[in-house]
Amino acid sequence: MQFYLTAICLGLSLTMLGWGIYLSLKIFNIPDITTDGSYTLGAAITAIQLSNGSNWQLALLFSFLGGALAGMLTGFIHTRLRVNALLSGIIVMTALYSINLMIMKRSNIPLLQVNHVFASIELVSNPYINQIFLLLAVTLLIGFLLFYVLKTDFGIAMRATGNSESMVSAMGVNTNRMKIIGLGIANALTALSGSIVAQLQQFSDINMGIGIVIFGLGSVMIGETTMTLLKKNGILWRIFGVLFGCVVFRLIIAFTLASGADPNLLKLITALVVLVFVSLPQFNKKLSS
Amino acid sequence: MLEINDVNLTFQAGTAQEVNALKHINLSIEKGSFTLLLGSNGSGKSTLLNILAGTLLPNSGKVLLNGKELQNEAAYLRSPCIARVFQNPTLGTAPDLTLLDNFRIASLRTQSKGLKIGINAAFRKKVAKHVSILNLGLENRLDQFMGSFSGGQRQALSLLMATFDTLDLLLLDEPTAALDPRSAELVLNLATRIIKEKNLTAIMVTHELQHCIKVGDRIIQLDQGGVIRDISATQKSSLRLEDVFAWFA
Repeated sequence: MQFYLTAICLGLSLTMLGWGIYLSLKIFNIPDITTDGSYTLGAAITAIQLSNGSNWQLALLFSFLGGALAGMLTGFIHTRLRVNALLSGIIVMTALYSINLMIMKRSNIPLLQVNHVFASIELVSNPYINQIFLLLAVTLLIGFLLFYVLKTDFGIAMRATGNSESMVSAMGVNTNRMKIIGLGIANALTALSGSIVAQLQQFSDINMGIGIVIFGLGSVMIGETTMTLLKKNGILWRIFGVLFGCVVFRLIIAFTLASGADPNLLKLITALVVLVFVSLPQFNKKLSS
Repeated sequence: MLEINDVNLTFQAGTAQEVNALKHINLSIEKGSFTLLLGSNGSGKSTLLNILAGTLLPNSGKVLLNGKELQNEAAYLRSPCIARVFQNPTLGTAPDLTLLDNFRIASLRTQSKGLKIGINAAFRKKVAKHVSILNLGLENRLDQFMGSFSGGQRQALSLLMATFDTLDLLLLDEPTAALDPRSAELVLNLATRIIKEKNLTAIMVTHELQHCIKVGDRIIQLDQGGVIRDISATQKSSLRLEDVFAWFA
């Protein structure tokens, strides 16, 4: 049971990352793999701050800002220097590996004796349930904030930028600026996720972000596919779908490992789960026709 | 008033693929007039429209709208005074946004897009009234995604969106080219009606020679990047379709 509770906690912690990918991929139509770097960046900033005696509030704030800067840099390279979006993300992600090492000064920082968010706030005595309550509260708060932003005039302009750039430009939107801001928000959420996971797992590792973009992508696809099957097309449902996707994805991985699968095959299992959910809409179309 | 002074544009200058798309274009378009830009493929009419919209910038020359120089401004900076209807209805609307969302963006063409929720009951009522002039029942489908409408419906909505807010110049880039005859007639009639009712200055690029007889006050024919014919309203009133065909002989 404890194994699955941990999986739910991790799924909730990674929901912000899922929303980051939802923003870049689904809203802006940009395959942004800065994610791998900005996720670790959030964890690195958090680890160095907490281990130096700073409080978790500042650690979360600086992680968020660090991720925003990384995303905006990708946006700048893509829009102002006219570099392909995928390549821009690869450039920043590669640079972030060294930057994260510079921040952490070593490849791994344990956070066992620090005052992290889960040690500071106790809603219930059971630590696992406490973590779930805390994470649910934070996730729902950020989810509703994201929903609000996407429903505002600015949010509509954001959504239109990825959907019909020619139209939105003719309607007075600076699409380059919008993409820079959008990628900034996406990577800020990703870094926030990295910060929370570092505090949850009580360590930060330089390699913790490798391949995390695949998890995020898979979660978004699980959410999208489920919501499409349920015929729920509104923004709120799509945002909730990502949360659902992140938790379900972690539970699938937990169930697979609990069933005795070789942990060395974890990435292969992850890739297969993503493949299934990415291709599910096509199978569904063929079955319908 | 729109003035185009000695505008030139060369694509891929200095290479073997160099194309002089526009050569010394000089035009003066009166306020409240409806001008048709006519020409064969590659004549430069769409390039000229793109220069007016701001999606292309000229190598030299000036574009002045009501005395304000625009030739170096990006498309989004021109949006407070210029609106555009694209040839392809999918370019002029956002398919994954609802009809209401699309009109919300259109309503903010001259304003900043802030962190407030602008779609309320009053806005919904305003959009419903605006789209009801189409008589297509779209006022009851405000929450549907734009992508669920037909090409003709989307083009008509695109035209309504372009003219939803105040503007000085309306650019129509072959608005009926991608539509079936019935939808094309709907969009053309709607465009003519709106231009007349709002006394708009409008420029329409067209390949349809019948348009020269049916609509507009003035015809400008382009060929190989230059103006080769300028037909005034008086000359146009006595124009026959055979005369227009003869221009392309």
